[in-house]
Amino acid sequence: MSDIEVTALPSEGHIRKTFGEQLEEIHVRLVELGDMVLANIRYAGDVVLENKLDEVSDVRAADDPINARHDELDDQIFQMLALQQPVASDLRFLLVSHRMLYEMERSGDLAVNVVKQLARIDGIPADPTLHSILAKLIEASAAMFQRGIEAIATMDPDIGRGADAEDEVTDRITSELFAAVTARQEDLGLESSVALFYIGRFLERIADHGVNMAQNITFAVDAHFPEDQ
Amino acid sequence: MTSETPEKIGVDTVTSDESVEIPTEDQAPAEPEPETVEDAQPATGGVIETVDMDVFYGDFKAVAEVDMNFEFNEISALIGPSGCGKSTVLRSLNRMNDLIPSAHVEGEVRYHGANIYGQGVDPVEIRRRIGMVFQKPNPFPKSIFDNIAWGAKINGFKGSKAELGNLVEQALTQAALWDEVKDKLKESGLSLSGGQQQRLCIARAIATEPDVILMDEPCSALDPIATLRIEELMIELKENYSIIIVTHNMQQAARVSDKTAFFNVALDTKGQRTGYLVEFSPTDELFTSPREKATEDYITGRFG
Repeated sequence: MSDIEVTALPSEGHIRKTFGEQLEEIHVRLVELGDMVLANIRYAGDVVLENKLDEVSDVRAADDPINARHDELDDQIFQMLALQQPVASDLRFLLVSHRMLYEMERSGDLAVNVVKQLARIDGIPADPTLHSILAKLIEASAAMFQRGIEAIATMDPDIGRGADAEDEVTDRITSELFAAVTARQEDLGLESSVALFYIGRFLERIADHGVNMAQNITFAVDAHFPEDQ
Repeated sequence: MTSETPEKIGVDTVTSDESVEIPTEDQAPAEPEPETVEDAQPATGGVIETVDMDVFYGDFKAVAEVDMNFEFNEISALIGPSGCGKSTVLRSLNRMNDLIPSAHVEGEVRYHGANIYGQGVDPVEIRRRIGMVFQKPNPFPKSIFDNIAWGAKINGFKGSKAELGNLVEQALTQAALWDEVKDKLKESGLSLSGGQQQRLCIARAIATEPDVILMDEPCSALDPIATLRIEELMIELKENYSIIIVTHNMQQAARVSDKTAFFNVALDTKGQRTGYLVEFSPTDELFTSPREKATEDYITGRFG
């Protein structure tokens, strides 16, 4: 499923072997979850761009295993916090993993919300400008989310440090979309305009979750967020 | 702690003529006569300070180059692997190591600025000022009352019988034991439960009016409930004392202490294992983002 490679946590050589293995298991399963969400974001993007109204239900269905994995990991992390009493980098990693779960689960819901809007207005109006802006936004948003997953997979604190700057692309395209919709509101009608605003907003939020994930990894590794530097 | 004596005893009861000066031959120069122990605290300084302290057993250097500063109203925890010298450091702070013939200390241990290993310093006076509580509760095989009164008497308590009674009550109250034992003060200290015995030993240490209490694994022989009572007690006591505790229980260090010192062991060229101080940081920092890699490895269990 994934082409993202997971670099093992620096928990090699843990005297508490089981604990080290459990940490690594959470790490891998978290990246897998991120990958499931990313796949559904891209799928939702395709469904929107190609007006595949008959596949809206598939996007919604794909959110179920995401939620199930979320619940399992949530449980696992909760247990480890209670039973292993982690400290220092282990504590930061588990805390951050728990925050990641939220970011991922929300992003999964946002992907579903995107296609719900599509279904509500029975397909996106065939306007080439809108279509190309939407395509760019979907790509930028998915790419930013992917950066977050990469940060987790590699535990690279640098991605979080540059994330806010990287995310400016998404913000700019979102503004572009809003301007284009505003300019066409008479032709589009109120319902389609609102739906397009929502879709833009949801996609922009997905990118923000990617930023948050990357910044949380900076915290897990460096013990402070990039902003605090 | 419910009691008829609403005010806590401790520093306030130390009278001015019983000031904290250590009887040395060459007195530390010109500090104004402190009114009470509390007044004796420099605004920023610690109660006890080790300066480049090495501790030897014979030729064997057990701990090297320890520089630490223990503050008033703080609990400091000493943690580290077995053999890292944390108990040795603790015992050096009130000259308990004198009882081991081969042990000697180089460098200085300053108590209110004066070196406790200086010439003419009376180790008994030092141990009165710097009390100690041990791993295994060790009450005297005497009555609960005598456990406290006797310690105070041999340490020069000269008050009346009523004053002695007050002292016992105050010490037991402060050690959160009074309510449990006030109706059976004549019973043997050994008749108490392990946790109560440990609190009795804390009361005994308090009765000699120290301003520092050293605790060497004070809860390792106790169940979790008794442990939590002692921990709560430590937090109450730090209002009036500086508390230094050696513990193998890292969660205990994390729960109770304000600062934590991590000691480690290094092998020298002769294959001798010498302990040294790695890091002495505020506890919340040490357990969330330790400065030193060795500390991180130890507390997370990646030691080796």
